[in-house]
Amino acid sequence: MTFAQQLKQEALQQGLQQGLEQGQHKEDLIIAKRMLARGYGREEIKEITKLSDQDLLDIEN
Amino acid sequence: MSKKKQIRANHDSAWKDILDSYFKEFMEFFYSEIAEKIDWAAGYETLDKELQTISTDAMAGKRFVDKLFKVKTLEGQEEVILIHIEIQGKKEDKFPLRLFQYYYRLFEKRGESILTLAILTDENSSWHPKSYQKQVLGFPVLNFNFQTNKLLDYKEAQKNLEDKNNPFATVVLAHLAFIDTKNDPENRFWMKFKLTRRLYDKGYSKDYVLNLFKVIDWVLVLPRELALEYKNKIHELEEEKRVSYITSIEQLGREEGLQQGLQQGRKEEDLVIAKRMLGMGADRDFIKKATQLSDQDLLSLED
Repeated sequence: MTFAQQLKQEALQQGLQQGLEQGQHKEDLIIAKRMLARGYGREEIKEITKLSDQDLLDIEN
Repeated sequence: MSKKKQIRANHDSAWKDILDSYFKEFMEFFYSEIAEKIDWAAGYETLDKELQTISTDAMAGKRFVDKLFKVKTLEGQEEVILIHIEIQGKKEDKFPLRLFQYYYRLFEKRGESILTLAILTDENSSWHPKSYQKQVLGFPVLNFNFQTNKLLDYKEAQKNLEDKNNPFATVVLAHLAFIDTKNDPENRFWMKFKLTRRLYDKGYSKDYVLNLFKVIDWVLVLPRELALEYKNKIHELEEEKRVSYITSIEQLGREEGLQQGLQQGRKEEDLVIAKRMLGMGADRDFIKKATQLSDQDLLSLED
């Protein structure tokens, strides 16, 4: 591996971690929205998505 | 590979890479008299494949980088040069024998003599091997000569080196800093930054900076916290100089990682949530709709 590749690889790993967390949260929100539309209750949605009350408030509005 | 081994492997490959990129400069810096006899315009060839087939027992466990080059002299003759770099070596009585073994293996293979040029990185200022000699029954049967250059010997010329543009001036400066700061990480941090800064101050091209940065980075290894601080200093430096040699590479990597992570994270979360929903007895069709997972995905969860 060249040095440039190694530098890039290190940064890529950092980005990957960040992306993973962001992606998971994003998907939680999407699914929560679909559950809301389907008529699921707030507690159930929280149980399944592990989202916070604030998150749910944000998507309800 | 363990961390230590990885660092060593990197260190070795830093030497290899810089030799690959700057063989002419290597010769001009360490062996200028020989360099003057070479027709550089005629090009040169590396014979690394040939080297790989050669090993001797004495080489086992030794850390070195070697490269074999075929060059043309100004008189139009082809000659082969072996560059042998002892990495973090110590004074070793068998070293001349080792080079001789190397020489005769190559002689056997190629049927012609090669010139052996070695670089010593040890810290023993009185050890300068130049030959391997053997007598049998008082009769001199063998006198094998090679050239060595010791990085430590450049210490007196340290100030001069800072003005030189030859990449190996930087290599030697980094090595001297390594010796000077063996038990002093704080000082090593500053020396490392000073050497790096020098590359930007001199206005070298991106490739040149990256090639030399690699050597500096691998010769002057810092403990974790100082390494992070060093990276920050580089970012500041690039901002100040309005270049982004290192920063741009990192940005590219981070962006690529972020995209990969986003996709991967979403898919992982779909599976986690689908599992929870299945556990709660939710309707299968809705699970599919909510998570956009396939039947196949759901089946794999149920197993």
